[in-house]
Amino acid sequence: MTLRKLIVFLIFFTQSLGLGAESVGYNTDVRPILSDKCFLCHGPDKTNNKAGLRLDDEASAYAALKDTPGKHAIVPGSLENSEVWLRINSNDPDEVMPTPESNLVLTDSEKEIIASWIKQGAEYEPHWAFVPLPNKIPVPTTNSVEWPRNPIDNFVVTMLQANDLQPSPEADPVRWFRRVCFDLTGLPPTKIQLDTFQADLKSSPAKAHEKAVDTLLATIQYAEHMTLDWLDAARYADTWGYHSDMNFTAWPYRDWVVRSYQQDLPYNDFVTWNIAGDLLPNATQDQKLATAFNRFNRMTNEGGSDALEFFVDGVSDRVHTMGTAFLGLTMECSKCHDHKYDPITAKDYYQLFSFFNSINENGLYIHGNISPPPSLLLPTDVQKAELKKCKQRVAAAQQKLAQLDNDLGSKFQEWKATVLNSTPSEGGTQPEPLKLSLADLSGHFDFDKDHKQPLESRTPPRPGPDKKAKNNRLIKPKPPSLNLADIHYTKGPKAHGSAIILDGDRGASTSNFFIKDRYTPFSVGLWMKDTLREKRSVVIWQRAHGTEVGYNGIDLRTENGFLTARVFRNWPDNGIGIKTIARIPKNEWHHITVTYDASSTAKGLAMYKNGLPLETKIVGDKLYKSVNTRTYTAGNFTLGAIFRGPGFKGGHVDELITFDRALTPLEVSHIAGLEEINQSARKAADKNLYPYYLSNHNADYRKARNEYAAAQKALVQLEDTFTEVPVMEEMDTPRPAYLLARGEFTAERTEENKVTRDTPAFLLPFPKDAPRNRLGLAQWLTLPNHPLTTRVYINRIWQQLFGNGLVGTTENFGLQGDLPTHPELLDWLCRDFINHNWSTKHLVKQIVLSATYRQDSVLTPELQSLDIANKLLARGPSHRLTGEAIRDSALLTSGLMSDKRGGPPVKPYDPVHNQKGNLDHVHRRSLYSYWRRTKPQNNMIIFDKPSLEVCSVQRGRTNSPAQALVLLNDTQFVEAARNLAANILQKHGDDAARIKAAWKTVTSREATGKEFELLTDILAEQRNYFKANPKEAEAFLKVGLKPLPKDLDPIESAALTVVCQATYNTDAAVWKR
Amino acid sequence: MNPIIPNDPFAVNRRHFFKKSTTGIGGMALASMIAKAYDSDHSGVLGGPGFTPKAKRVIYLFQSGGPSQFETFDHKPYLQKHHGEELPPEAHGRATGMSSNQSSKPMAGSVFKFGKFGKSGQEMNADLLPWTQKIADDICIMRNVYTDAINHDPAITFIQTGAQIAGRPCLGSWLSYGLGTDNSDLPNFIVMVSKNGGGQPLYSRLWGSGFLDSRHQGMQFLSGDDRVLYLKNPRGISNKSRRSMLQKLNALNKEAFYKELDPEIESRIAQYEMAYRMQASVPEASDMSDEPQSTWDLYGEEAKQPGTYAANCLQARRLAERGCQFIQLYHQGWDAHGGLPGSMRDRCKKTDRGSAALVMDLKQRGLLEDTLVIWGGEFGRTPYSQGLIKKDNYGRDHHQACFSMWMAGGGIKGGLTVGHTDKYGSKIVRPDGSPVNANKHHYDKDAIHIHDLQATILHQMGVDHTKLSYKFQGRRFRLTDVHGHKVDHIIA
Repeated sequence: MTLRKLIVFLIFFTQSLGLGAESVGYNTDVRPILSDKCFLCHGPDKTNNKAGLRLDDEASAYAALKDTPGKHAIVPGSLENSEVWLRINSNDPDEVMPTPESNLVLTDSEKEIIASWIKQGAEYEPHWAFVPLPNKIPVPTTNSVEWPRNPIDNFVVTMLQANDLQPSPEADPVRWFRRVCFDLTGLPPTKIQLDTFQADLKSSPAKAHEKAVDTLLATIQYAEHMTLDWLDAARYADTWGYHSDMNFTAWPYRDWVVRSYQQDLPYNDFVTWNIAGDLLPNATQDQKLATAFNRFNRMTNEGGSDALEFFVDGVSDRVHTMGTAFLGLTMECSKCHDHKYDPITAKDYYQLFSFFNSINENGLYIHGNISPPPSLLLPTDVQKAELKKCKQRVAAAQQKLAQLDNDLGSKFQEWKATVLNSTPSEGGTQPEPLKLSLADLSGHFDFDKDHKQPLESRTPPRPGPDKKAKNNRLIKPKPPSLNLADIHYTKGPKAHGSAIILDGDRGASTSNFFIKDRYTPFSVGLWMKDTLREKRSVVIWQRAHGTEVGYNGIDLRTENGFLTARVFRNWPDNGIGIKTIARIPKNEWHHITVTYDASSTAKGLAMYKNGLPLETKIVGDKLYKSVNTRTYTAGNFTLGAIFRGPGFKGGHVDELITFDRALTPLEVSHIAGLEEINQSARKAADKNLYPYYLSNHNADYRKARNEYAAAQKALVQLEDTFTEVPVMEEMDTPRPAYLLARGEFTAERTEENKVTRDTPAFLLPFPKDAPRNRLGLAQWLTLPNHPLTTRVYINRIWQQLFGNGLVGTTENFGLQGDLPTHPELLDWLCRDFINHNWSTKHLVKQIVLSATYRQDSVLTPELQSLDIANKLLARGPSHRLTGEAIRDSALLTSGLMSDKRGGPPVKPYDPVHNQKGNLDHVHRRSLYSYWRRTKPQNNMIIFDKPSLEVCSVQRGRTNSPAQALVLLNDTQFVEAARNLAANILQKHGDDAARIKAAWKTVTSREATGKEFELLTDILAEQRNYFKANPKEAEAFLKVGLKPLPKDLDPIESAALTVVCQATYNTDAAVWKR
Repeated sequence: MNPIIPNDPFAVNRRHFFKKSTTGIGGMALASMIAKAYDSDHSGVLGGPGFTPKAKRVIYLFQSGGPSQFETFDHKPYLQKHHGEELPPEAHGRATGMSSNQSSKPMAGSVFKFGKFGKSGQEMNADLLPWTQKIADDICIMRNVYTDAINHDPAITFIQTGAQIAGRPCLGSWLSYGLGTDNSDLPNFIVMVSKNGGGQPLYSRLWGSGFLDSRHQGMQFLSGDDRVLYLKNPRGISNKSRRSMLQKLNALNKEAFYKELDPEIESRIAQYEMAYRMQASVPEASDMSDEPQSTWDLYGEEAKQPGTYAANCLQARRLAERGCQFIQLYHQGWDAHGGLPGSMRDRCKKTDRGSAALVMDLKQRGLLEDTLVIWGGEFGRTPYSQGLIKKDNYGRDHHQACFSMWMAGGGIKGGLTVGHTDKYGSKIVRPDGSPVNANKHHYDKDAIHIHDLQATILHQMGVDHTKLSYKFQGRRFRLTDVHGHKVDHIIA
């Protein structure tokens, strides 16, 4: 029996490929053997060509062998001179190929195929999937004139006839309709849909099918269903995927995909937007949003992670996903070495890599609350209106300041005359002592050893040389306490008493002090001496939340003598910063001041050394949302250290002073001790004194400045509520990329292994005029004769409808992939698809209306023995529904399904994570469920929901006891049965009608006599059981959140619920037939 | 309609067919088609062990977070003597970002005493492991295990699946795929997570089947009333009423089979039967009321609290008795970056007795000889202190270059310690102190790479790690990638 089947199979296998029994084809027969058994050592990976031999390459295979001159691996036409033949037949373990260690064996029939091929002339052929898509594919003529409905059927019936098979009869129209509903919408037909179709069948039988399809394609449910399938490939999830697996905002992308399918966005545009929407001219919000596709690589925030390692991983994942989802190539194999089977070199890999590495990211995410930039803000319409108001308010405040700046000249002169230049009083000899002060002082620490911290009772500081002058004291600061445990003291600068020495690990920190955001102006001054001048960037002071993985806040750092001051949310792409042009001399005391004016621009930051402005360059000038977001650590102002980060080891610090506004240059020189303020004020030119006056002594100006800060605050607080999605945004200068030896992120990066952006040469050349960026890459991918892009997509759609692709290995179109069962059909569909503007709706419609798809799916004994996998398409498709479709069907048919669509994900019932649930959430379509990347819903994993961690284009279809348990016991399904029963009880009066209604609602057909009988038995038995156990009925009816209508009889409800449960568990409910 | 019902010769023959036809090009294609179509088949792809296995089952006691070797099995008097002094840079190893920025890396010696135990005189912590001391003669301590990764997620994924990246099948899934199951009432691969652990997160990928069929994934045993998700009937449904409904349901599905003639329907009917049996067998397996007092004397009172590590150890023994092939326990909380001595006291208190009681219990029941028990985490810890060091308090960062594990039973030599590390406990060395430069590309008998460990575990189960492969994306994947050597000198 077994043997007979094998023979039958082999016959149809070779016949189906149009070959006589005698002749063998390279692509169809030989290459699969060579690839699987030989290429590992004699294939495209040049570094691993044992004996210098390549069997995938004609020239190398025919050439004289390097180790044994005069001999050839393959001599066309001559078995006895072909070393390949001799070696595969050798009995010597040292000679035989494949080697015993490889665990690979050639069977006799495989050897025979190789022999026939060599005898035939050992002709090589290019791999079918790498051949450009032909412009025209002839549709075979067939003598089957009745059966074909469109060209698809001509291809299929020709193949069937070649294998002595006939198509199955057409499925009953209702059976077809239910099938097509599941395939196009992921849902069974509603009663209305079914009635309409049946009415149409009667009134216009010729048009009913097409009308039904058009109607389904126009539904939002169609778009949702297609989206679900794509999201597997896009490795879409609502969390980041590693370690603590925090939430991230992906759902706007999901909603965009729904929109794109609803509008039937041409697939070439779909590809382009996903890969490079941001680079399109005048990119729209949706085009930018689509590039979130490239940001679904898993990310981590685990402490101790190496940002470069995860950066390389993330970029690689983009390459792998593009490889699998668009090209059907196993790119991951070429990350560490040339591909063992396909002609993809490691260089090809890193050339593609270089298209995806140039966004301003650092490889790790900080915290779930902070999107890793670059990102797109998506305010709602209401928020947009608010934003406009906020911006207007900021602009108005700014204008007011400018106006005051312009108008207050005379007041200044007045002030100057009365305060500064006041003449001595009558009879006096001295002018009145000046009472100038610096406003908005918030803290001062002198680090004098003899003073006990905290500084509560300390006299506020008296900067300047005249330490005794009492009447120029500053406003008393709030008394923060500085934790100085384990701090060592040293001599401070000049007359400032002692100073502290930092050890890099233990900082001096405060709490409830210097609470700043980007809308709060500030100044920080201190004396410092850098004794080590470390090459790495170390922190001098900071006020930031976070870990070494990433912080948000404000800081001053030094790196090899260069100072950087920053206000940042997620460095490098979301923050402002300035860096000094020159180094600060080592081992000397300097007074360093940083000021910030709340403008959220790099221009608003300034640094001073010893009272004089420092020349700086901008290192970051983009800032949105808050920089004071609580993530990890308390975020206390700290000198010389940061949690798990490099601190200011060996740094000496003294006289820390802080203000709640940006000091003017005059004041900075004062706190740096250059000159006493009274004296400098007297000498200062008006242009220097005027800002001081405005900042300190003009109430109107100070009020306007406060208003400016308040307006900025309102803006930031509003922005903080905006939905934010990580997207692609190309850096001005592409980041260089290198061929990383062995795929190691630490591999050496040299000029020699530097790569430029290019696509694999064995496919099509990169379009001449295309830009060398992701947009050019997208143009290459969507070339109308690209060998892979459409073949891969059409195959996936075919798989979605038929259960298997025309190419069985949906994820691999390379040399190790399956051959297409219907290569011409695949190509014809591709070309037709392109000719119809890459329209998915056109494609799908054509397939589901074909005679091929309309066939009945019954597995006859003949087909069971000849073609159980339905490769030849002698019957219609049938397979188990996905977990989502099963759940959605139950929700729909039970009347529970919510019609709310889109928006943030919701949590369905889960026995572990969501035992209680929220009534508004548990009845949403599965597409809108919260998908945790490391742990999708239990009841979905059990139905083969794939891992959401990497791109996945094919789902398993197992059959397991756990599935039975879900459908029988999961709250979701019990509740559905209960609600269906309640609906029916309210509508139908007798048992027979109730049973029939339940069955038809779930399965879209009438129950057969036997089925009806069995269901009637269940009802009777359960009624007896619940009558005897009324409390059990009460308990049973409480499963799930949906309340039971009050007036229903509990015994009847419970008994009918069990009938509905049984119905939901039948083949008719969970299988597409 | 009166369809001819085939008596499904395919079903009878498929195992036979599958084995016979895995050679030959048509056979290959057909076999994989059939493997997909008949995924309810219980036989493994290998059709049985490749040679006589020493172990029939594995109980893996996974200590998640990276237990410190310095406070368990790798005694370093040098660190104790030089506590607080700066560790020389050459002994730092590859540090994580958590401590690499630290200005100072002071040596941290264990605050605990060490001693030698059992007839074999195995060295271990004298203060914290009173129970493990009692099984010293049964366990093989490996102080020379090393790994590739230094962060929890990649490291634990690596040790469980042989790859740091997600998407590969785990050890238990590989065994299920390779060897199949003869157990028709209980899941073959069961996972339990202590509820008294806490700490670094665990991910379902650790017991996931990756690209293998989802039936090979581990089934989690929970600590509550519902031991297995969805196992319990809904409130109000008795077993009897469920049974009678299932009979009718199966009849309904048989009706479908008569019409569709699809063997998958028969398979589904069988799955419902199996599910029903599980509803009885799982509660039976986890109902501890039949355990005698001697059990509680051995495992301790804590074993009476469901979900504790001790209770899970006892549960593991009960599952092993009932023929489960792979039972994996996870205990979290070993990730002591700071306050390590206190943390170790607590973790050892929660796990020491359970681990040892399990080994003793298996032994007294004659099960230890064919049950491989494995104890260990995903990596070790640094010889230096992370954060502040005090006389009696310190922390330790992650360390991948060496750490300690033990195995017992299942054909592994007991009363043996293998592996040496340098005086700092930073690197693996030879017995004479000379360095060992091993990595996954280069095997050295004095060091045990994770792939070597995996190869050894598979070997004890009768599987040649180079032969257990699955073709995915055109490539034959293995648990050990292209690496791994079984560690002969620890095999009895």
